[in-house]
Amino acid sequence: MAKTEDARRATQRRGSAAWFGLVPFLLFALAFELLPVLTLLKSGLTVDDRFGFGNFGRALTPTMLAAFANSFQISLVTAALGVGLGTIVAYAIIKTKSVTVQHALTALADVTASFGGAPLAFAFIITLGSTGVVTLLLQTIGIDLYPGFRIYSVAGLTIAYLYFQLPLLILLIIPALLGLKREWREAAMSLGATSTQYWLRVALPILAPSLLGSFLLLFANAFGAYATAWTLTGPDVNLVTVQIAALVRGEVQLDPGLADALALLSIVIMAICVGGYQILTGRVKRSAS
Amino acid sequence: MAHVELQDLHKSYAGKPAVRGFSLGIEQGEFVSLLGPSGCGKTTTLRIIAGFEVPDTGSVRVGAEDLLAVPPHRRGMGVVFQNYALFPHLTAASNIAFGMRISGRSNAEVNRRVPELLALVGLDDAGSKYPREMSGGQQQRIALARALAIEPRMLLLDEPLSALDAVVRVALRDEIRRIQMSLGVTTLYVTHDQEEALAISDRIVVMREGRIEQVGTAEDIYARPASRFVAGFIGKMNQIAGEVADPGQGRVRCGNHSLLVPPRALASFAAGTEVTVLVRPEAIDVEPAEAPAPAGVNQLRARIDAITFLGAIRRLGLDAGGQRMVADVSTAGGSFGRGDTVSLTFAPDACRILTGDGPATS
Repeated sequence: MAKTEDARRATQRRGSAAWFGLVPFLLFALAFELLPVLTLLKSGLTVDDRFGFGNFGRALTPTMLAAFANSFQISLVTAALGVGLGTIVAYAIIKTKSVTVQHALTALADVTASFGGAPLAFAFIITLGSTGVVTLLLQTIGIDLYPGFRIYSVAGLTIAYLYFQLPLLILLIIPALLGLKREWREAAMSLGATSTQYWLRVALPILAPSLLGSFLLLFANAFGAYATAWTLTGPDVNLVTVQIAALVRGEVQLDPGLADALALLSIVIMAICVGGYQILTGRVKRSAS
Repeated sequence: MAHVELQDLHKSYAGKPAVRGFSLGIEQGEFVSLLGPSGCGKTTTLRIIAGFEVPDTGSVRVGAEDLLAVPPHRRGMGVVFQNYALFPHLTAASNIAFGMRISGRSNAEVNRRVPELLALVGLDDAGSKYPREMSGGQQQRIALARALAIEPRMLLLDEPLSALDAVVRVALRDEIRRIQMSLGVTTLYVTHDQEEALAISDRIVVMREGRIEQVGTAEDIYARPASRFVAGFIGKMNQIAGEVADPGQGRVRCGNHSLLVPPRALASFAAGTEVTVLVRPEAIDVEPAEAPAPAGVNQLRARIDAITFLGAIRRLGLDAGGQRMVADVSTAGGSFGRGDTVSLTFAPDACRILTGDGPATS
């Protein structure tokens, strides 16, 4: 009996120690996530030292609405292209017979998904800029990218975003693709389904929550991107993140209150995306159990 | 000509043969089990019939049709998998309806057939449940109903009960047989569980290393194993090594013992030929050591060194003068204890003779 009690106390002690190990993370989250959000919330909802929604009212100017429209457009397009193309690439990776090649491609996706910001923008400028390597090479075979295409435009930004959106999708969707059981395909075939019917009636519906969840994460990823856009296009492409930076730096006007309101709206959009992702991944786990 | 004809099937993976020269005819409405240890090629054979694998050589015919040129989705084979393979995003009713909807059956027919099939597998009220809301046994019943919904020309079951617990396994095993008999559907059943195969099959195909070792009814396979492998794989078998002493008298010398076997079993052997005498544990009578032996039967003295309780019987582990043996006694019968010396008697007709790994004689 005493031994059982000792074992119970030892388990409790181990549990307490485990919680203690979380302290650095909790402090980090408090300092760099929770407190900034609370500060944003306070300043975004404060006008002339009083509570109010005035900052949000000023976010409804045509320029700001255009920034939201552009951010939504780029986020939607790159998330949709990322999901569409990334799923095909991810499927090709998992169907590759060589495990070495599979691991190499997954590692490459891991690296490129994290490669963004100014280095990515410069990489695109020296490859697809007006005097970029690829641009000049294409010229030698009679293909002139410019002036029809500009890397410093929404189209160029879309291509640059895809550079990290595609590999991120690959990393997100590979586990879901690996979760497709061979027996589902074989069962569908034995019941008379062609390969197309299997994908439309079995595989894609099973993958749908994962695909939609990944789409939301990619959308949030693109919506929150700043450094790549700013380095590549400067103020030429009007995005929410570019506007926030401009308002904080006072390039056109110094208006931290409006910047905070825009940031809060961005956080709401991010929260909806991440919440949706969590709900959908939860659904995937429940259906798999 | 049989309803299903498998001719000289060969299949290798990376140069390693999985199926070697498999030939078998299956009659219309017959229930045939492929039985063997893991890796013996039974699932590969089933997958070849289903069209999931292409054999290196050989043919698969159903009626007059050569199936090898037919893609799996046009073969009309109902397949039940070990892990059920129900589509998780569909309810039980939608899973069952899947094949009918793919083949373009009318809504009226689907709506009529699905409840019939749910009733057939005893799950009338489970139509609206998702697979995750059902037990393993229930999922496998739905998988069976789904396979039957397309009115398959053949039902293929790949270890369908392996993932279930013992009680459910026995109940579902009997139910599969009942449904198969009521529908008269030709069935190929893959299992490594010899008890399962013996219980439900019209015929059993015992496989080993890609080859057929023996084909026969449950009684044939059990009572007249064709090889040492079958004898060891199907049930428990005493295998006593010896040499032919007197073929005419049916006498075999096994160490210090002289055993009587049917003389016809030794007809083709000369004296001195090394053989193995096979005796089933349930064919051995265990008596107190002092019991007299009836004339014309074999009697060995043995010491009990292990007793295993198996419900209706106790299995005795015995040492008969250095020869390891087992014998089954009724739990309701006399009680024996570990260390007791007993008399083992068995009739000559209970013995079969094996030489090398060749066919057995009796």
